[in-house]
Amino acid sequence: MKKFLQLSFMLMFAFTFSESWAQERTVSGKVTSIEDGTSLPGVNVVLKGTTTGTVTDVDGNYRLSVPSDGGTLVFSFIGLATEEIAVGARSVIDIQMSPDVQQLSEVVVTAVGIEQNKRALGYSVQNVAADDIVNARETNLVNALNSKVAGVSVVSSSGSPGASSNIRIRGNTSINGSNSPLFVIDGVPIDNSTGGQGNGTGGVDNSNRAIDINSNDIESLTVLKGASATVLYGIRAANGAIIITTKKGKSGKAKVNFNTSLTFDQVNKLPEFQKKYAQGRPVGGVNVWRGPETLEGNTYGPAIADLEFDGSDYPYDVNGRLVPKGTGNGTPARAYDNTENFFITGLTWDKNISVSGGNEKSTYYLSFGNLTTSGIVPNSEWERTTTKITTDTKITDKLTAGMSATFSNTGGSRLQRGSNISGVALGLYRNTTTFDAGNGKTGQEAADDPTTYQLPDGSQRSYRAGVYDSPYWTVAKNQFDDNVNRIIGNVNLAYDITPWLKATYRVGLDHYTDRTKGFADFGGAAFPTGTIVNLDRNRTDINSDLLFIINKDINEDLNVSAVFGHNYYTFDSYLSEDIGTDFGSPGFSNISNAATVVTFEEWDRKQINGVMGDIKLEYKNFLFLNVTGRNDWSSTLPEDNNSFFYPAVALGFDFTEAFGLANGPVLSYGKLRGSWGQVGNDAPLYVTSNYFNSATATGDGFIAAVGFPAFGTNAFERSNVLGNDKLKAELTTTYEFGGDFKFFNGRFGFDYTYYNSETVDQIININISNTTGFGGSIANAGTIENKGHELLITGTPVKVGDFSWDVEVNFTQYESLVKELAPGTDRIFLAGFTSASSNVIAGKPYGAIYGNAFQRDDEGRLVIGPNGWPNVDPAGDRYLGDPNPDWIAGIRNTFSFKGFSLSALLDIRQGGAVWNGTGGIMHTFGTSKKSGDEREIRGYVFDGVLADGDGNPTETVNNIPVDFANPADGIAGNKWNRYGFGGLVEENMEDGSWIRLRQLTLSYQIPSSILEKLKISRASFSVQGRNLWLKTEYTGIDPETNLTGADNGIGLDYFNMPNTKSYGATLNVTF
Amino acid sequence: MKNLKYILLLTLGFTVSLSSCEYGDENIDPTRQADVQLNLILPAALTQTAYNQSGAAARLSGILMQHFSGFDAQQNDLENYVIDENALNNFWNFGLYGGVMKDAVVMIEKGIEEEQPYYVGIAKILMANALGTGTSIFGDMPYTEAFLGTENLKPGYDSQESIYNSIQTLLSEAITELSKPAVGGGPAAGSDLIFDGDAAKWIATAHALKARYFMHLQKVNNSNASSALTEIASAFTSSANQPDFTWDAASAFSNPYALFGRGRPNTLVINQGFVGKLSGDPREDLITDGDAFYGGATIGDGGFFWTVNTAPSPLISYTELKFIEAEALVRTGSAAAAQTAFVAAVQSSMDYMGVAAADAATYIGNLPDISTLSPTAAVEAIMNESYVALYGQAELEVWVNYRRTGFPALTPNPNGVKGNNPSGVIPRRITYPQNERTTNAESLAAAVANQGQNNNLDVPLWAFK
Repeated sequence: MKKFLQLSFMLMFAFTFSESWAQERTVSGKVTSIEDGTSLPGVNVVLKGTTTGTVTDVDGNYRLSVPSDGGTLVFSFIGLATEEIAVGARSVIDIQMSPDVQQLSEVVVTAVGIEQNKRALGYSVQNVAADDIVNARETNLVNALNSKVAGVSVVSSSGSPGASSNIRIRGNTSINGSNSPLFVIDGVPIDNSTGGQGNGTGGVDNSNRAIDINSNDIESLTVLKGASATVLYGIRAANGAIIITTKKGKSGKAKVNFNTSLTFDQVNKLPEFQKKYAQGRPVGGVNVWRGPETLEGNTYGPAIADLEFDGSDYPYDVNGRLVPKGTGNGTPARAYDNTENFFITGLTWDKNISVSGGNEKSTYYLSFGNLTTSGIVPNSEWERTTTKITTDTKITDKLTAGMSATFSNTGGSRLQRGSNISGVALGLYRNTTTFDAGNGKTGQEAADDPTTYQLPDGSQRSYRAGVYDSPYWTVAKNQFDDNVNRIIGNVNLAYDITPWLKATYRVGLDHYTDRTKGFADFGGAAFPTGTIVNLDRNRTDINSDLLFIINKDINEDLNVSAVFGHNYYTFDSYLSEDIGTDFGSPGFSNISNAATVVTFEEWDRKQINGVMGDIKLEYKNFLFLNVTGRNDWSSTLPEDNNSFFYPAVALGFDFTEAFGLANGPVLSYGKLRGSWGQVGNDAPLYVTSNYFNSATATGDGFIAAVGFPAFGTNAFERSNVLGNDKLKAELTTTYEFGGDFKFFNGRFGFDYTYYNSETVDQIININISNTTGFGGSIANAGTIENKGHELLITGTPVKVGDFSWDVEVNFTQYESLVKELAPGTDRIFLAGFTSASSNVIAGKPYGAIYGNAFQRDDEGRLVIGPNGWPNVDPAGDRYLGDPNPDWIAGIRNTFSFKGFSLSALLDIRQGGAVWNGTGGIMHTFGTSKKSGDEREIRGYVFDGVLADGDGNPTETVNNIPVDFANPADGIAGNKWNRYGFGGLVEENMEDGSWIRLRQLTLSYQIPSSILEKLKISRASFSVQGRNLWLKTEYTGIDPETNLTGADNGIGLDYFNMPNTKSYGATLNVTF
Repeated sequence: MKNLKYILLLTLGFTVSLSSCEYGDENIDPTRQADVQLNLILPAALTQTAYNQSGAAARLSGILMQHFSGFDAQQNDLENYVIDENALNNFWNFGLYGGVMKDAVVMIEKGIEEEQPYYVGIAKILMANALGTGTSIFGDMPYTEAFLGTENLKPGYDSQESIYNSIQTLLSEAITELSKPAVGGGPAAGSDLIFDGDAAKWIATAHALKARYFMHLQKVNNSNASSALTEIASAFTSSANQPDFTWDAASAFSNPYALFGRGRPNTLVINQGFVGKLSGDPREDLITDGDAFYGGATIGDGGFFWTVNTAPSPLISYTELKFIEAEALVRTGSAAAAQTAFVAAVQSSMDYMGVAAADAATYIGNLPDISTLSPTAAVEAIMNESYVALYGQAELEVWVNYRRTGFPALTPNPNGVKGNNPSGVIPRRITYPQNERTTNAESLAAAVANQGQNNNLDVPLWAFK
């Protein structure tokens, strides 16, 4: 496309500037691309302030007469940044031109792979440059999109290697369905579900499957946001789409690219710990030290300053037991930095090599990439190896064929985390400060030495003698490994039937096997007799697209282009799981070691047929009308009602072109656009009928369910969910309008969009009273409204000589409001715990946090009980906060000077409540800094009014003093135990706002004068940092965290693994 | 013309795809069945019953009754009467209504349709037992308007009195069904995990349960004591014939106390006061290692009779039945017979737990002769002994007895004065589950109003007032 444009422009300008005036001297040179060093034909070269000019030839060479004083040459070409060079005394001027993404010619890949000029679109799309993705040096492609696209929010679940990330385009719309956008690679939709069984509240951080993509293979990435943009992709793109085009070969000599980067990761933020008080609790009104052998969980013991060691032989501390000062051997008691000592520096090493080239008939691209990463926690690691081949061949003049295949192998060793007594963070943050978890060692060294976590008798060495696993025990003994082999590929044919009609056919395959093995050895806290969980998942997605593409100029003013086609999609996902318990031998992680084995089997499958049509009218190159429609037939809907149609219409109006204002000195370009579209969605699998499930005895909340087969028999019970054979497709209607404006020849521009979408007839599992015999009923119900503003500002405030300063700001504000749920149902649980959870609640934002809170009177004052302590709200749990940010913004400043470029990406998130469950538990156990600082508070009078005998508020102002942690009140009487484990949910709601330096990159493009001698066409070196600076009021870890990963629940932090900051360097060489 | 050809081709293509969208069984889950036989439902219902009996409600009752101490984490909350609408939310949703009660409803329906009276009878017993469990925790319960699916999404609550009537009716019907000839054949041996299909034993169990639930209402009307005695006459007569559910040695299928001990280690321990009471009792070593405070015996530790993997969960035990008989006899003025039943109750506990005969005899020899005591003192003596004997096997019944009789004398936790327990007493009921508030709010509000002016833990239930 670009080549074609270049050639046609060359021809055009060749006529315009066919004559050059005779001047006193000539300047010549060669224009090449800064991207890949190739020569650029057709570049317009003009002597500034004159009409003198020429264009470069096919090899990029030019020759132009200039006045004796030289003057200034202006190099310009559509799609490239205009360069002005003072000639001075030089007679040879070679320049490299760089792409200008702000220019009007920006080509975007829209639905079903149709490339379009962005200015012809009536809806909002945004490109992300391949360099911006690669330079982020993120293992997970999803993270690389963070704060780069207006309307897109990304929250990683943690900084653990291979951890999943939650990506949303324009917020959440679906209650029970996925809210993740569709990922499409070279026209093939791929699976981005979360591996294993997803991220639960416990277990490990699994990967979202887009992590299998190697960013280095990406040529371009386009984000399609609204219904109008995605309607051709159908229901799977109901949440937007990420359209990825991978690299292809170009005809010419073989090009070899090699790049490698090395990155060091460190923990970026940890909760604060108290270092003043020892393990123990009040006994008989006195705080006493109680060591690990007592299994004591609390750190409400005596002040460390009042204790000393006794030098006795004690397996939990080389210095002996702790005794009151003056009764031991004089060695003072001490606090250990257990958390700081535990984390290590992680290392990520990425290396990629690609070879590409071709001739007029065929092109090829081959690549190999390998990335290894070790985490900030000992023994955690993850690796990705990818190899890719893409070829395109012109079989005849009319027929071209292409294929592409990527094989990837990913996986690693993951950590136990979250609500899990084997969790690393849980064992670490609850660890009392007077117990040295590392036993004199730290980090990897401690993890490698069994004496850190195991006593000579084989039992566990931990601060509670194995009630919770020592974090070192966990990393050494509770392995969780996953291994994914995946192939993504497509075969495509294109046939030019007539000059204006083309037929294309593409069939794509995404197939993977995901094998995980979880193992907990003998003696662990959760499974003292050991457990093995083998899980195998085998998934195949097949997508077939037959398209007829029409493009015809009806007359000079009117162009018609259209696409008609058929789509078939099917997936089949089979899972088998073996859970073995009760080991024979320690340390042997084969299922044969288990005395009891339970096996499960799951099989998910679905098919969709769709037909689509898209007609685009382009009038005089300033008015663009696009009408689109698609009809789907989904297997998940009732058979007699499985067809649904959804249309879209979009209008773009380039008023600068229409009124002859184009390229004006102030306003250079202005386009207004508006669109309206609908997108349907089908039902979850298998909800149109009722079933009997394999039976389990359950309903406890604290212990494991007992599942059948058991006791020598099998058993089944009627499913708790009532199916529905009257379902119809759910429907989202979106309208959006906006404009794209550029000023001062593109030096400054902004692109604004407002959108509003409403999803009705959601297919949801409505929570109904279990007394009906069912706990859930599938129905079309509920309305969710999403609306928001997106703004993208670009500018070049300074451009002087070789120096330029570019700014790009993207701003996102959205609201996801649950307008109504099913009649009589006001809340649906999304994720979390019985205490604190993320929900959809009628009248509240999507993901609303819900939990218990203090009782308040009508004026909002606390209601205080007869003992001086505030009462808990007797009305029960309630809405406590909106986990969605008020707005998010990414601000990128790039400073370029000659070959140097310094780029800083600032990421701001305003608002977004996070439940700091971790903090609440740390207060309860007395390990948090706050519980250390405040426990001596005596005689505190809560601000509030007293309750009467029935607990109702009175007007009497409270005057009853309380002590926060008086030993006389026992452990249960202190402030942080009085309201239950972890306190009230309300007490731990925090603001998750942040400002961070998301990315900082300094790169240097090595000059071609040096490279030529080395036979290198292009080379660059860069150093980069990620998350180097973070400012937040959140008291826990980095608030960019999400316990349930890519699932629908948001805003929960319960012993999540911390996030990381990193430093690294990259070398990129092209031969 | 050439264009027309392509347009026709396109149209044809679409028509083909339009007509080809029948997917057959594509949306039928291949891993689940649409229906199953009765003998494959019964094991689930029996296991759920036993799981309920030794699980969350038992631990909570045991903490309130000071058998256990919530030492840490969430169990510590229960110890301090930090008990809210989440405390037994899962228990109600998945243990009772969405658990055994749902299974029972399905079995009754299918059993009637397929003319298999034994399944119907057992299902009615399990339903009655579940209602008894629920009502003694919460009070009013949905029953007559329940289990109608979408026909009634907001079932109203029956009064506690009505629930107890329903329990007796269900048990009578169960006896009738189980007395029918085995037309459809009895339950398959492997399916009836308690009695291997022995209908007579189920009938005896139904009578025992009738006695228990009559006795729950003794305070409401003392004639219930006589009714209980009538039922006991037809109930089982030895521990060997009691409905024991036996758990498996494999850890995944073990007694819920053992599951708890592994899953939530050291959060629940034996109460110090209870350890004191066990001093000199030959069952002491079967319950605790004697050093229970802080880090001693925790619930679920191997070796202790009621909390090991294979510890049984009796639906109702002979020991409990004999204590009921003893009390009923006291209540009806048969002091001498009461003493005999009292001794038999303690003896059966000793025998069941495997105490050496001599040790048991010594212990029993030291018991007071309740025939010589005032009725109140006799009841106290019975309750003091049943408090020990029912430990670990019938925690809920201990709490029922305490609320009914006030015995054994227990001191409430001084930290237990809370906003929803302003009087600071040992809780008299548990707050209805959150899920009912969010899905069936009006019916729930009516039920709460029917039982007192507020939803507090110290509001006594009608049956035990």
